[in-house]
Amino acid sequence: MARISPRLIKDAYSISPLLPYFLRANPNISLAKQELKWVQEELPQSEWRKAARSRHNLYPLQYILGSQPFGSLDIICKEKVLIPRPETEEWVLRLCSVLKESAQNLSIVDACTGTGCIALLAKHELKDSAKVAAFDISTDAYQLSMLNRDAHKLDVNIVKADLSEPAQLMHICSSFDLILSNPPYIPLSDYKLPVTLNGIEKSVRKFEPKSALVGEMEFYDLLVQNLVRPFGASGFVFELGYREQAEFIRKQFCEEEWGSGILKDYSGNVRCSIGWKRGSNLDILERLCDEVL
Amino acid sequence: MFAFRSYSPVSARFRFLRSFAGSCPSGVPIPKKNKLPPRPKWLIVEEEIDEKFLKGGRGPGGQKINKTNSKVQLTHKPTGLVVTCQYSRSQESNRKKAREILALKLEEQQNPENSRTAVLNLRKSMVKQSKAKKSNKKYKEIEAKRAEDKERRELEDRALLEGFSDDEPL
Ligand SMILES: C[S@@+](CC[C@H](N)C(=O)[O-])C[C@H]1O[C@@H](n2cnc3c(N)ncnc32)[C@H](O)[C@@H]1O
Repeated sequence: MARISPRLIKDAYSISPLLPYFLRANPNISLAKQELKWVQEELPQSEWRKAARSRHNLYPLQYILGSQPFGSLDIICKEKVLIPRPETEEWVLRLCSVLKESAQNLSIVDACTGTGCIALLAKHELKDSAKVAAFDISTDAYQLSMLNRDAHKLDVNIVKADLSEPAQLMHICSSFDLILSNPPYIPLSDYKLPVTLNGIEKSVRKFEPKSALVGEMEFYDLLVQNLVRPFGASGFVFELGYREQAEFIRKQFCEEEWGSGILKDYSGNVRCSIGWKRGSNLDILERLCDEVL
Repeated sequence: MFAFRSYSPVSARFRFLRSFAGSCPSGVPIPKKNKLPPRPKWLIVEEEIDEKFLKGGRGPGGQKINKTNSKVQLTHKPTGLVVTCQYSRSQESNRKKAREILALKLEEQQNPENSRTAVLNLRKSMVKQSKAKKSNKKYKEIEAKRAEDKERRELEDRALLEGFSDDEPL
């Protein structure tokens, strides 16, 4: 990480003695000032100093404040569960606006739900036109997603289950139309590298759960073999971080039966693999694709 | 000592304020807060807007990064007006607020005299004047100094929040 210049620290200090503590996580004063403003708005004064110290240590702001906005929901965030990302928020909202136009009575499952953000926002947006379920292997994620569900009073069926145990998944529901997931997708080799080498942010490595982040192809394989196929789904949206993962998923389906494409995020990065059964009511998913595979 | 004081910029400012307040025709009522021109939402046509999310440009994103800011930038295609908004942690709030700001700016361009911002500014200065009139000189001095400080602080805050250029790395 680049060293912060003494000049910058002095400038920050003259605005507020707490501001310099935000410079490690935000190398520019405007962003640091904003974070301090949010801390001061959302926490009692007695906690500002502690918050500033934690932030200096690169502890995630969302764990300090206890939440992350996701669409129009405020998602409660706690240690040991991954913080929802804006790229995820973006594709979930895009997906819902396409589904709202036409799809009715959908049965949806969100695999590897973490805080529950994807399932809860989908239910919030689609209301009675969708039945939504979600599951995660981690007890912390399971408990937090239940807490979030109750906080927003949304009717989502949440279960603690392992994607690699088909027997556990059978309990959730007998069939699903649409499978959504943001599984761990960072190969271990990249997990160890800094952002500048296409690795990950120090704050993420230090404080977010490794078990929510590290994965390569195995989760996509499980999603297809244990959910899409046995549950008779006609569509899926899987978040990912690499084009190779989208190509791997494409190869699992025969082209005559399934259409497939890629969604890019607001930064232009490959972000989701999308699939739809040709001729089904979910072929509207094609509209989400920036590129057909 | 008295003569010296009367040359200080603060009291000079007061003489100006007083004379300004005095010359205002007393019959004109201050626009009521609830009777301001409405927010000109109708000026926003989604098809005319180009929306961008600026969250630190390139880089891998997704699970690898945890960004806290969510800056929204709107370009009004017919006029080329650009506004940005990042006051909130919520992208949804920033999108709404950015549209409100854009609408106000468009109205200012189209209808400078009767726009919401023009009436707001007029109201602000009239309220200030009537307050100044009511209070005694000493009180006025304190009050104006305060207002001046507040305004300066607000300006600084605003400049910091909105003013930094978009090519600055996030
Ligand atoms: C990248 S996080 C995504 C969380 C959330 N969906 C989101 O978008 O913020 C991946 C999640 O997968 C869960 N997970 C890992 N292995 C799993 C498995 N075998 N079965 C179910 N969930 C698993 C982790 O506990 C973690 O919560």
